[in-house]
Amino acid sequence: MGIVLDNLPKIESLPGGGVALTTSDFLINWSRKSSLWPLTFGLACCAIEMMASYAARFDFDRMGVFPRPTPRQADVMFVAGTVVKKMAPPIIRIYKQMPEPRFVIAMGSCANCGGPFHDSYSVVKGVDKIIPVDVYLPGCPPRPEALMYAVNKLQEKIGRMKVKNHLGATNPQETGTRSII
Amino acid sequence: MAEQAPTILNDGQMFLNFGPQHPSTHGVLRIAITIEGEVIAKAVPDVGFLHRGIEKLYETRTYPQCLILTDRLDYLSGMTNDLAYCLAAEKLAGIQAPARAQTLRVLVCELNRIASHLVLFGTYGVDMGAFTPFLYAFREREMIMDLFEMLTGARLIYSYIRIGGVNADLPEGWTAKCGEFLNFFKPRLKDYDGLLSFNPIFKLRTSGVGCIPPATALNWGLSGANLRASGVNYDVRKAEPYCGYEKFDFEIPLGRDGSCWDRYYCRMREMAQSVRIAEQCLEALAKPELPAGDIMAKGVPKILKPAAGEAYAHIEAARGDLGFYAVSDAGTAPYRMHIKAPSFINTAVLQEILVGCKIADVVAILGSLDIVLGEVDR
Amino acid sequence: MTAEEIFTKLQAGFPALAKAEAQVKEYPTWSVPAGSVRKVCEALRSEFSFDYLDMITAVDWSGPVNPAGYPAAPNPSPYAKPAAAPAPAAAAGKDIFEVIYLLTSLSSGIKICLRAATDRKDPSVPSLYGVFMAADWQERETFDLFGIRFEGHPDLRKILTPETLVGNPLRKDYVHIPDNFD
Repeated sequence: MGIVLDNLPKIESLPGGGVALTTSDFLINWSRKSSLWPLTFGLACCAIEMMASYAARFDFDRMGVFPRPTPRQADVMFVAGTVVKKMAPPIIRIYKQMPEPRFVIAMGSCANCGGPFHDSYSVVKGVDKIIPVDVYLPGCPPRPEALMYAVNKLQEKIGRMKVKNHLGATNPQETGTRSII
Repeated sequence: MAEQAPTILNDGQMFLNFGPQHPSTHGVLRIAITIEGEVIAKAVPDVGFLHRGIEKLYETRTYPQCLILTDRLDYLSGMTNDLAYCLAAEKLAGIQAPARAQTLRVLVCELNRIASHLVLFGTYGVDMGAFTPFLYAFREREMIMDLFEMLTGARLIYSYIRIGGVNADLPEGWTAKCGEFLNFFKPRLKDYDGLLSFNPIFKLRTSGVGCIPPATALNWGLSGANLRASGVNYDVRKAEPYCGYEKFDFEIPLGRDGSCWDRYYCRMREMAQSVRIAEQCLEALAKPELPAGDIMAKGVPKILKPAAGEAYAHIEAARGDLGFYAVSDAGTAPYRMHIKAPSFINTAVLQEILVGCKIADVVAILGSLDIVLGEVDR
Repeated sequence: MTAEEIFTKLQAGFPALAKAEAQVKEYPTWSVPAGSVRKVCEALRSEFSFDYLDMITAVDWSGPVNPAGYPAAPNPSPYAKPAAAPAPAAAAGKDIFEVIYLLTSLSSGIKICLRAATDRKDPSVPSLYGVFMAADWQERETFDLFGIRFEGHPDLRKILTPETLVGNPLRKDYVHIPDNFD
């Protein structure tokens, strides 16, 4: 099949069949976003809603999302729950163990900004203080449908990634909100 | 990582970190194990990876605002946390919730107990390598969550039980739906027995593993199903009944040798007893002695300032004996509120019972203690 | 045997045992001098079958909590009016910690609360490690959050708070030092 860079943003089959034309951007992004494997990283209450979204009613597997226990095999990390200062170094270590391209969804208000515990002496005020975050999902806890919506938003974001910018991986960034150009 | 003395390894020993990120630790728990081959020589649980400082936060929030934090302790059974907190605050303030509110409290707590034990059933199966029970457990749990959503508006964190009563009365059609669920659920427990409880592999992995003799269980202060599985007949609902539990007819399942299987099976049988209590509650709520709408005590002030004093209230939560020790100095915020967390005390026993087990048994024993890290670390 | 009888019998051996002024509602509360906590608990365990330790915790009686102990106000709002003149100082508290113990006898169903007062400057109480193993982690927690030393505990170190934290957070005069995570 022929691959044409920067033209033809969708797959077309030419008359006679058997050939499809698309951009490598689209193809690579489509395959990445259709099979996002998250790390099972539940910290607190949001983890239970994350588990409920893997279970039968809100089946995440139909979106290609299947949890992996080890960061080495994961694409995305749902930080589900309160990030505590004692847990911050392990989180950074686990984030670094994920192979690129890697994404982070901050699930729940504790991961977004510290949540109900924002005035506590031992809570990190939002996981974006220690790792770069792609999607912020508010809620306490967010419903499983909301988590799926966050994954949808992440898929849209992945769809905007371009091969000519760092081969699909963005510049390594330490903290804060991450933008994919 | 911690400031403890460095682990000294003898010849042939290896140090292994179990957690804090691990699919089977049920949260962020780290156990620092020293192993000789497959056998554990020393196990030191390291907690604090979810320490949010809730006891300190209590001291700047008013009594109703503290309820928000209390829900998030044992997040699998939000109703029971609120109940213990409200009982302590009501003891301080001298408020007595009306009878209908008490029965509603019992009803939601028992439904929550079923939901919480279902999570144990599902995740314990996953820990042992069986994935199917997880899906069944969560299917049943979704039904309970639907009920709670109809009643309170939330799926996991409810804030339904308030100081003086409960937040709302049963909506239209709730009793019918709840009865439907209870009828659906009763035969399921037999299914689960066939699916997991008497599965030969599951029984081999859990019977006789992690046996806690009753004297050890009492010494280490275990509570809940962990204590009853060792044969000690102590359930707060029977020992110091609260919220009208003395009117309900239910049994306390006891175990024999305190093994993992006993702890697991005690919880399965507790689910059956919870169904019984829930049915009795629904019957009682339909009677005219408990008039509809009488859900909040009269005269609870908008700004609650209990008289100076101290109170301790404890309940039988899904995890064990959950207690709140409250000190008031006549202000709007508690002067001191200590949470006696059963999971925190249950986790300590790992130091003793993990020694001599194999690594695979660590997962079995940890899962059978049914701890929730939100409560361990507060 | 009721709690009263136990109290009378125990007071024979420990004359300093007294009924506490501040009673925990619905549970008999006795105050014990800090030095004899361990001996009283041993006696309760061996002679009166109090075989279950429910809770060990502490209360800092030194007055209202210092707002500087929190990185932020609990309800920050852009519409909040600036705080009015600080509330009239509540009665200055006593400069003590009180360690609270809750013991149960499962056979008779009696629950007893013991209170041991210790000075705030150098708080120290004998440990119950060995009498009740349930004391192990609860004493470590109280040490971590209050700074009370439990003499005789073999492994008294932090259990809950992060290593970078300086001070004992549940003390009323705890001042929070912001770090890079705040």
